Amino acid sequence: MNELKGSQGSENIGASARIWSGIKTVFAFLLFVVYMVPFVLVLINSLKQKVNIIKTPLKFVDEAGPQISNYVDAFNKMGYFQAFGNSLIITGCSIVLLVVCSSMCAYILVRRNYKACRISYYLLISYMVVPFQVIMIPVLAIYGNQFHLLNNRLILIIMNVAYGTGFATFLMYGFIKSSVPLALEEAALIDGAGVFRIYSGIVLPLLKPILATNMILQTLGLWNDYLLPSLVLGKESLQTLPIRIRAFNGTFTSDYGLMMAALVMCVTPIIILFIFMQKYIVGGIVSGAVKE
Amino acid sequence: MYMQRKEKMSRKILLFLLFAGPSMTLFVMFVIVPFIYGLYLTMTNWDGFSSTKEFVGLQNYANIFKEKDFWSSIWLTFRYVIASVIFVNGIAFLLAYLLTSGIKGENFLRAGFFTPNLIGGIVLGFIWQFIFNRVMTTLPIFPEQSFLSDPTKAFWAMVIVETWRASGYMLLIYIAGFVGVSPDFIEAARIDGANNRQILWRIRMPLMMQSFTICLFLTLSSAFKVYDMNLSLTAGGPYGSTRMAAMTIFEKAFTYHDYGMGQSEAVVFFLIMLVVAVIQLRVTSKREVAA
Repeated sequence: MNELKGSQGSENIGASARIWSGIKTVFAFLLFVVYMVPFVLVLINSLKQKVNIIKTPLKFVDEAGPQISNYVDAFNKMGYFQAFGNSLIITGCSIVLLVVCSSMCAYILVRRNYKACRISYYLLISYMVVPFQVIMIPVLAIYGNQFHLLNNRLILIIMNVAYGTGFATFLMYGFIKSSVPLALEEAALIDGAGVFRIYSGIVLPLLKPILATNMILQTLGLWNDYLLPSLVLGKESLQTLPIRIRAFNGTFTSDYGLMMAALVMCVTPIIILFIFMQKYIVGGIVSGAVKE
Repeated sequence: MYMQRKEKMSRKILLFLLFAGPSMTLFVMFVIVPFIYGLYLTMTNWDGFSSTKEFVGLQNYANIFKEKDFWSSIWLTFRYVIASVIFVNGIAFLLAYLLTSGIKGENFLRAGFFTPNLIGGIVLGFIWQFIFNRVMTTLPIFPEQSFLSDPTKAFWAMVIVETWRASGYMLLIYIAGFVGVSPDFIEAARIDGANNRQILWRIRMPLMMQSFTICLFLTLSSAFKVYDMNLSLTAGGPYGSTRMAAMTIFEKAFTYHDYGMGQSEAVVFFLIMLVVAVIQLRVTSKREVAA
């Protein structure tokens, strides 16, 4: 993402310009500190006893030393391990399925001008303006009240694919249209390759950047998703982290130390992912948005 | 081109099913069918449990006009959308301007401002609930009573959290916009004697209008649909004063077990959102200029 580096200030020369640029840097860092305050407060209080959180929430350490026990208690009481596993399975499976289905779908929609392809494309892109709220009640009525398919990780994974496929296909459609050269495919066709072979051998490897973009955007969305999982997964043993943290808050609402530790544990996995994948995430967001 | 060769109908069907089949089947099953079934539900008085549902025609839609709670939540959502759109985009634009003006640590800051977006609405709400209820109340510069126990302040608390979250995301898009403006235009304007403010207003902003279109659309639709953060930060309180549209619809259907009315409200909500989004896209796209 080096091309995103600023280029505005290069023409500024002279002492006053340098001071002005210094002021801007300080101001930006001050704002940054303000943005980070909530995280820092949650983190420091997650290591304190309840009394001290209430008395002095701003103090950095507890008089009795860091209370690691908050983490142990919260970990056990919220069933962190299980919830984390559920989140991981659901997010992981949904994303793999979504990327495979959507890239195949986008490929045929770009390369064939069948009526069915055109209709599918319009249906998929129209979904982007439909709020989930307008689908939510009938989905529960059909798949919950009538077919009793809820309380099942697989159905949630399938639903995630269904609700993600519009945006994912749209992103890949644009990418295939603009960046996958038709000449390559024609050459393979002359060599006798079938359509599926062309897709898997030639097109799919070229899609890597847009596959990464899709995976990143969907990971952030699905890992943190609450509304749909909360409707589908009523059974406690199936619940994901966001559902579990809400239930935990209901039970331990005034146990601030535990609550803060639970929040830190919810946030940590995705922050670690971000630290390692930062470049791709930032790039993915920008390319995903600009295509929209 | 090879795809214009004649293909047999049976081959066309096979290819379509093989490639688009998985996606489209799921899409039809979980989006199209529910959407149509949802329209049917709006004409019933189903409670979600009983085996029979009565057909009531357009009665639910007629009743919506008398639903004071629904309209007050729509009006509240409107105000929330306007306030969030202004603050999120204002701050994101300002930050993007700062970060592209050649200051030190740009990449680091950009990643830092983005961090709140990694976290879901539920967790964000709980983090800020703690800040509002437990931290700010102990500070002498804030009133002793929590923001969240006063209707007006609780509304602004939601706007603050949304601004804190979304501005880091929009920032990325505005930065891409700033960087996308060719330095040649800026140079040319400067030679013609334009000052910094004129360059910003007359050159940069029109040329990065596409960023505005995207950011306004994204902030608008996410603010309209707000649910998770609403649920964990205020839970609609105090006294139901911050119950946004999505929460009202949810409660109507699943708490008061009125699927018919709930779905009718959802459809009206969808139409309102659609109109607003279309107007916004029309207005801002028209101002996009090609460089």
